[in-house]
Amino acid sequence: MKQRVFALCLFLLGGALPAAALAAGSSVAVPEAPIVRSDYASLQRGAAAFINYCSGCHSAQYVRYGRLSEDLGITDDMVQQHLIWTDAGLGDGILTAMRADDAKAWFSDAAPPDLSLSARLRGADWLYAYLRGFYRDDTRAIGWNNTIFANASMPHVLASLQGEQRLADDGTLTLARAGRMSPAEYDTFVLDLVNFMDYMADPSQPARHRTGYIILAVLLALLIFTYFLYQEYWRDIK
Amino acid sequence: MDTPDKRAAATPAPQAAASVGAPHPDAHPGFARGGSIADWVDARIPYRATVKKHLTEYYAPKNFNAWYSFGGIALLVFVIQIVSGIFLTMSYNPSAEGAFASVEYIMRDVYYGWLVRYIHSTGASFFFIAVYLHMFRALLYGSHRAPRELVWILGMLIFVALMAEAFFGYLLPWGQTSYWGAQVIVNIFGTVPIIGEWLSEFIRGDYAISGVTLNRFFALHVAAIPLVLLVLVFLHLVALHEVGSNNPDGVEIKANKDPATGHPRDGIPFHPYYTVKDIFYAVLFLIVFCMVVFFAPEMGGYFLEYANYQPANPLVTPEHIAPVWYFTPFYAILRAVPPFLGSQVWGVIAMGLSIVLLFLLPWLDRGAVRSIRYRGWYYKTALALFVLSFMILGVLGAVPATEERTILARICTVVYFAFLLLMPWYTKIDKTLPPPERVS
Repeated sequence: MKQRVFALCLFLLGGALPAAALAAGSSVAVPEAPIVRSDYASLQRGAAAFINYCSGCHSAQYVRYGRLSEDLGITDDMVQQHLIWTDAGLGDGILTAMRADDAKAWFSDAAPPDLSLSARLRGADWLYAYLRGFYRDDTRAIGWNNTIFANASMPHVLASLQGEQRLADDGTLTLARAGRMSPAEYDTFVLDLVNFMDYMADPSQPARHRTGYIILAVLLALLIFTYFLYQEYWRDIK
Repeated sequence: MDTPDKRAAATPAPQAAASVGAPHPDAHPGFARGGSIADWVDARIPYRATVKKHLTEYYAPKNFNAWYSFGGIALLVFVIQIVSGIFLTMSYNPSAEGAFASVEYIMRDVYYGWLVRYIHSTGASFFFIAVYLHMFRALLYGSHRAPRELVWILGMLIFVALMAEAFFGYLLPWGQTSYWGAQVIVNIFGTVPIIGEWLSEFIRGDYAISGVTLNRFFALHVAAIPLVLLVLVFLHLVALHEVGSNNPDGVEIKANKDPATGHPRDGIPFHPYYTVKDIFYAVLFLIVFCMVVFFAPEMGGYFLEYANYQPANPLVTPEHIAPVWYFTPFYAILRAVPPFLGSQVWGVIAMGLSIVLLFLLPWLDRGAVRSIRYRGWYYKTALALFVLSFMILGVLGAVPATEERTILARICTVVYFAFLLLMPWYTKIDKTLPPPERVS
């Protein structure tokens, strides 16, 4: 969200005021997911949640296991012991055991997508709302539906944690049957997962920001020098 | 056996003079032993004369304002794009099977690959920002007017080549937006009567956008169009230096030369004055550029579209296909024109004309003065309306069409064309102020 506000400011600077205004109005409104990318504990919990609950069906093929230890503040041994459940090595991407043909057959051609980039494709806010938006729908073959993504092919794989929501006539969700987690615990769980997915989609973000501050500081210093150089040369031009 | 005297008699006079008393037949200092390396080079390629002619003794008007920085900035972006593009090419895989994955490989596994890729993607947008502002500057101060028609036409050719370059490059990440954006634009050629179908197949090299298309777009993007751009940029500068720059007052500085020196009184040597000034502007530009590269490379989905983070899928058509922001004004014109006589070609013609007419600007403008400073309110109003309609078209081209938006797009399209087609009339009757003798 912060990035979008920043982008908006830059656009206003560029004179594209109407463009930004219209774009802001057209996006689907979902509440902001308050993720903190620098929260290592949250990212580590999210990684565990992803491996436990998502990677059975979804791959994250562009994310290498070895990169997790580098970026999440854990050791290679921990990754090998707790996150790699297959015979994959640290240099391999996160693949799923589900075969593509099976996936197609089981989910009526809507095979579970690769999740490496889903946070960039949909946005963290969307994912946060989506994973909290499942409700019981007996009219559907999979038994579930979603308020954010109507008629999604994905069943509510986190139902044992969240419990079972029902959709009231006025569009609100109520918890009909409790799960292993309280609503607050479940929200935190999903937030950690979304945080990890956000990391997976854009692993270079912290390095990018770090480098960015240094480069901007250097350029600002250079701007001062070049300004005075320019002024010095131009002193005699009337 | 020739004696020196005999040889002198057989050769033309200047060389004969050189041979007298000099053991070496060539009198040029660069060929003599003991000269500097610079002399040696200069005797073989005229770099000193070139530096003099185009930098240290190229006289530019002293009153350039910030609008005049965008030409240099566009050149800087061009260099940035070439250098970052070379590094991307080292790791990119131009095939339908491997393109998308290789971009992610660059983003994740290549050392500072994310930086190179974001520089290149941000550079594409900033190239257009710089070029649009550069062109607007010409409209402000009448830089396209005689004797600078060829500077303008070569600039327009650069703009067209740049659009081609951007279009070919946009397919390369092989995401959904890449794929369907290319599909839409290639289909535009399909509306041409009779040969349309054949033409779009010729461009794609296939019945649909495919790996074949990707390969040829890659070739065009990294080799063909950059070479064309390089030549055009060179010619643009050659033409500019022949006639000299215009300035915010639109008065000719060459009309007032100091008889003692032969240099324009209101001109200053490009180097060092404008080199130091342009370096300052370049740094200022780089600050804005780096803010985007490091902190908002997607620019809210305008520079890198979110939908492009899923691989191209020929079987799933996205609900909403829009070209990248720099094409949207022209795309909006295309959509604004209704089909007529059972053909969609009229929109394509309008879009083509919206660019072709810009080439004719030097002849459409009949104003008595060049600069906006001395123009009357007709031109000022027309230019303001033109810019406004161009920006509104840009917004409308990026969003799905509705009935109200189509009406607005039609109004803006009419304004766009009215600005150009009525220009001979309103610039002629416009009440202008007398421009000053010399620049202010």
